[in-house]
Amino acid sequence: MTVIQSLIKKFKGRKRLSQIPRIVPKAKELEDKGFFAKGGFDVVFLLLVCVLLTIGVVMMFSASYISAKNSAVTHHDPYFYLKRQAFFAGIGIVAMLIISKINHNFFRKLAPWIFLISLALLVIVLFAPASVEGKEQFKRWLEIPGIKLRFQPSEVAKFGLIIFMAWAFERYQRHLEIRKWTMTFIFFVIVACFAVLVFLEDHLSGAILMLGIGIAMGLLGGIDLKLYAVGFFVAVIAVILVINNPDILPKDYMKERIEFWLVKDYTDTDARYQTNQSLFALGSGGFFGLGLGNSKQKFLYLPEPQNDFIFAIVGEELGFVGCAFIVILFALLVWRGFSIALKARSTFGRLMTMGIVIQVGMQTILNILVVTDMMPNTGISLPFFSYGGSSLVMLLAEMGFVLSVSRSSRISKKH
Amino acid sequence: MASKKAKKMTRKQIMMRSMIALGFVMLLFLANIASLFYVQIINGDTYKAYAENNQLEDNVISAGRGVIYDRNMNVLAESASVWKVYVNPNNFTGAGADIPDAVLKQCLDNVSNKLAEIFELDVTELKQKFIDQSSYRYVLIKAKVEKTQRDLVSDFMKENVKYVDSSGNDRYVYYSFFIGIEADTKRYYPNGNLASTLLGFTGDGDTGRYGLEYEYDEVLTGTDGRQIYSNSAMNTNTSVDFETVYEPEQGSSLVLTIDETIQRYLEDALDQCYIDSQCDTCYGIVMDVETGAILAMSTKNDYDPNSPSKIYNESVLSKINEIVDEKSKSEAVSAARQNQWSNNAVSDAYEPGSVFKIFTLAAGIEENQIMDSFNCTSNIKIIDTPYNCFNGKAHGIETPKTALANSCNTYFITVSQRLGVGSFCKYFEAFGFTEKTGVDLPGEGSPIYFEEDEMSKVNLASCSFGQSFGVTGIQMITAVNAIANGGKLMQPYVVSKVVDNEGNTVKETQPYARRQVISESTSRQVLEAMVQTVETGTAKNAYVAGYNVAGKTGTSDNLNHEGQVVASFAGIAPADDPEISIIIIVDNPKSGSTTGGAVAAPVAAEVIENTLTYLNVKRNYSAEEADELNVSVENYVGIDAQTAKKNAQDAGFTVKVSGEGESVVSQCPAYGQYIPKNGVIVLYTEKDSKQVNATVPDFTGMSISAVMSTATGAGVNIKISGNAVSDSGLVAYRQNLEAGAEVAYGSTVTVYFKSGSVIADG
Repeated sequence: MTVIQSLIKKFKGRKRLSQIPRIVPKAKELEDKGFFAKGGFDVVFLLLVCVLLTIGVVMMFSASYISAKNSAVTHHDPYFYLKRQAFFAGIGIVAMLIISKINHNFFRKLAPWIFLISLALLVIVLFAPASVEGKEQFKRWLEIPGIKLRFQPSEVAKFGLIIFMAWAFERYQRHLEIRKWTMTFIFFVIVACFAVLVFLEDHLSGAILMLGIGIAMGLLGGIDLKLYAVGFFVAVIAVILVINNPDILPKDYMKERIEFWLVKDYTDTDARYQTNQSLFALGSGGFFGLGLGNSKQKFLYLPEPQNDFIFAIVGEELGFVGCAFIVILFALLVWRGFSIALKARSTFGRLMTMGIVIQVGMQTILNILVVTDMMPNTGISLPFFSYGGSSLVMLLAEMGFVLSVSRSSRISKKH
Repeated sequence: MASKKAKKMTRKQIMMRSMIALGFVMLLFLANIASLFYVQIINGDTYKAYAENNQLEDNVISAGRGVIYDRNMNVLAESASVWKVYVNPNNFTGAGADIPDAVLKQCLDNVSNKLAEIFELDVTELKQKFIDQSSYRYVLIKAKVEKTQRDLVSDFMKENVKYVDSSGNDRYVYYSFFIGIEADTKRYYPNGNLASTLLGFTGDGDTGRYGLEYEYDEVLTGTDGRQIYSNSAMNTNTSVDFETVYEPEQGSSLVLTIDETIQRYLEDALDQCYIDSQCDTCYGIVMDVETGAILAMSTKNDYDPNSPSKIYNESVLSKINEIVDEKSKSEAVSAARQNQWSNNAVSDAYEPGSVFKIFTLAAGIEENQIMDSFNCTSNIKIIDTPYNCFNGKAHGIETPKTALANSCNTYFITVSQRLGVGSFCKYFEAFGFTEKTGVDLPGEGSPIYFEEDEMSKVNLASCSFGQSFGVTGIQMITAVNAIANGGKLMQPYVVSKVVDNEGNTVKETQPYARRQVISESTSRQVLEAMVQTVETGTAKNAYVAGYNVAGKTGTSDNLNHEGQVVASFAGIAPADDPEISIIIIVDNPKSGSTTGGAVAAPVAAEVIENTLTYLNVKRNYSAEEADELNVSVENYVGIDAQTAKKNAQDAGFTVKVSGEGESVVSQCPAYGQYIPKNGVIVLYTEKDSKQVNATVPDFTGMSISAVMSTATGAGVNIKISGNAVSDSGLVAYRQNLEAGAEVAYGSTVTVYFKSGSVIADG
């Protein structure tokens, strides 16, 4: 038998995807009926969220005070950012508590719709972006007409991708077992779609996050580990290749960023300005920091200290000790999320929870790597800390989802 | 069963996959902490330095430098606030602010004009500088700006130019957008030259460059404070009213052992010597006998520390101005500066000459190797080297006292040979001649001397009368002080206290006796010999009536310049209960007699008399001295004019009556003052009568009797200073009131005398 013949036979013997049964767990099977979730939620997780949110809002206020006072955009109101962030934190907390009360099985039904809406938003933003003062070149925002609320579709899409993959990995578990490579390819195409769409917004970091989420979800969902082993090596080789030959990158601005990252010119006041100011702030903080509110770098040296580089001001004011403490809080949040997920009653709940905390962890890790100049500047915000109303509400809503899962998980129920 | 097994496998896989993901995330969190550690701790200081450098809107608040006081808390050096004026030329380009170019141009013109006007600068040059350096944010216009000029600048900074921005709003740009003022300090030396070589001066940033300012720089310098502003350069119209101030920590102050008054006496006397003797430099030290504290120290050919770079020696300056070659000119300038800055009394080793004989004598007495009776034939041969006394004079039979008074070389050569190299070197070291004194002043010079194992008998002979080695002035005064202090070698010092800015004493120097060099009885015998030297010997010019002065003169060869001499005198007074010791060293005197007795001793006498009077040391007159003493003026006020005149004339005074009144209403000199027996007195009989004046005559070169009669004729009284009154060969060389000055009739003029005859002091 020739190789081709055997391949044809194998191909013909394959089950068609439509013949494979889908897995839809019934609420009854999960002993988890009704619209509202029963049981208590995980207090440790809520506590971690509250501590991070409190520190985050306080530091955001400290970091933004001076720049708010000196900006025409804020009408020289030093409390401008604080007021808004606090307002959205309030909304977020309400959203979190409401969602934590909703049985997460309800979201399973919504998953395909959320997926489709986020995909649509990602396409719309490319054609009808809202223009943000000072950032006119980016096509990242959409504005909800009427209430003038701006938000980033990519923020929605991150959640959309997580919920979709959690839904799909549960539903098409058998498909993945039987038609492994076909399913892998389909998942890959979907993740790539998201990443490319975000990339087209000129939002490299968003695209990287999309890929990261996709890769993590795939790992947790059951994609063949061999592929991960190969993928890991390919990624390492790609990174080495890019670092050594930044010329191969498609866009000039990326090339520049890599070059400015590699050649550490601390006197640069142009391309590396923000990164340098960030390092100077962190270095000034030293071990114990200058004390809360005592940052000097926030005095218009570090541009937009309330945004992506907020952690530099945190480092300056609270020092290495404070920074390490905050990193540990984030790590605890991820760890607690995982332990909640592992006790979840459904695959959907488990994957959703893991996806959410990994997304938070990943964003934190990448943000700090950028702030400490271990990675080129990409523009990733720091969860709970960076200023941004819609993303904070989104984040807290996701936390609410984790809490909802924790209610029905085996942690809260004794056997 | 099968499906259950498969399900279990899945559970295991879930765990494994979850742990891989979780592990990976945790690993990356660790990487975060590691990178934070790297940035904040390992590289933290580097980045911090960049940050500080970056925060250009920081102002340094200079910490006030401590004050230097004399021992009576008179200020010798202090810092005062001045300002630095700078310009931010970058802002003339707009620096991102929405200001029309025409307005910026107008600002550039106005700022250049105004600053050029205030600081007398060239307008076009200044403007070009701003244009050329437009990428800079800080260009210093002037440092050390005084208050009046600063006020002009700050007034100007409050003015503005109106303009319309691109959105059509009315805006104002203030000149403070371009100009800045920073605090700065300036060091003031209120007494100018006084103690300049001792005090030193400060350079850029008020750091000590010379003298005490250098030695105690760390103590005097405080820790600078900082004033941090936000970068207001990005906003023209929004004032950023935040500032963080780190208060500066003021520097500590020094309280010196120096007494400003004694220092003035020393400097006045040295100034006169510097002019009269036409020496290269002359310097002197006055020391408190009991403690070793330095009361005064001065070097002439000095400078004004308020502007230390200027060259003060006019002849040197005119020579420098003649040099054409730029390089050799600048070398000459820097050599001249070094010269005027150096504190020769501490830095220069000189050959002490005959002054050293007191130590040979002390060693001889201590070791019982002196000859009570010695016949000086003026010639002595040590191995093959012949020595003789000054001018070949044979002194005949001598006691130790007369040998010192005569400054007899052969006597002391003989003593040294009897002592031997070992014993001589023991005392040489004991008196501190082999090591630096460790006085708290910078740049102390090292002595040049023979080590015990390399000293031959011939060397020993030369050393016995102070030749063939070199010591510093500070070593010499310290050793002389040991003779005065009953044989105790004291540690010399200049700073008695360090005081913080709240007036608390941080550190106090305790007097420290390093060792007992000779016994008290030996020191007494040496002192007596030194008294005889002043009374009848080569140091007559150091005589001060009533203050039993002990001393020794010296004239020696310059160690570095053959053919030049160094004249010196070391003295102690009063000999019966020593209060001060003094050394005067005159390097290369050129005018008239150049011996120590002729040049240095009178300087010491003047300083000793003034200082001891100032210190309220009681005079003890000998019977002979008392004879010559002045008499005190009686009270004539209220007495009938005729009677008063008669009484005064009877007392031996020359009397002048002014006015037509019945009785005396005032008199000059006043009641109780001392004037010479045949002095002059004026009696006023009318209240508002005009003061009777007299013109001060020029006494220079006159004998005592000539001075007396001239003074009476002119209507002034004389106070005689210096030398034994009984000496016949005295000549006036100085007077405290200038010749030709109009003074009140009966005023006292102090006239200084010294011996006119050649004084041979070896």
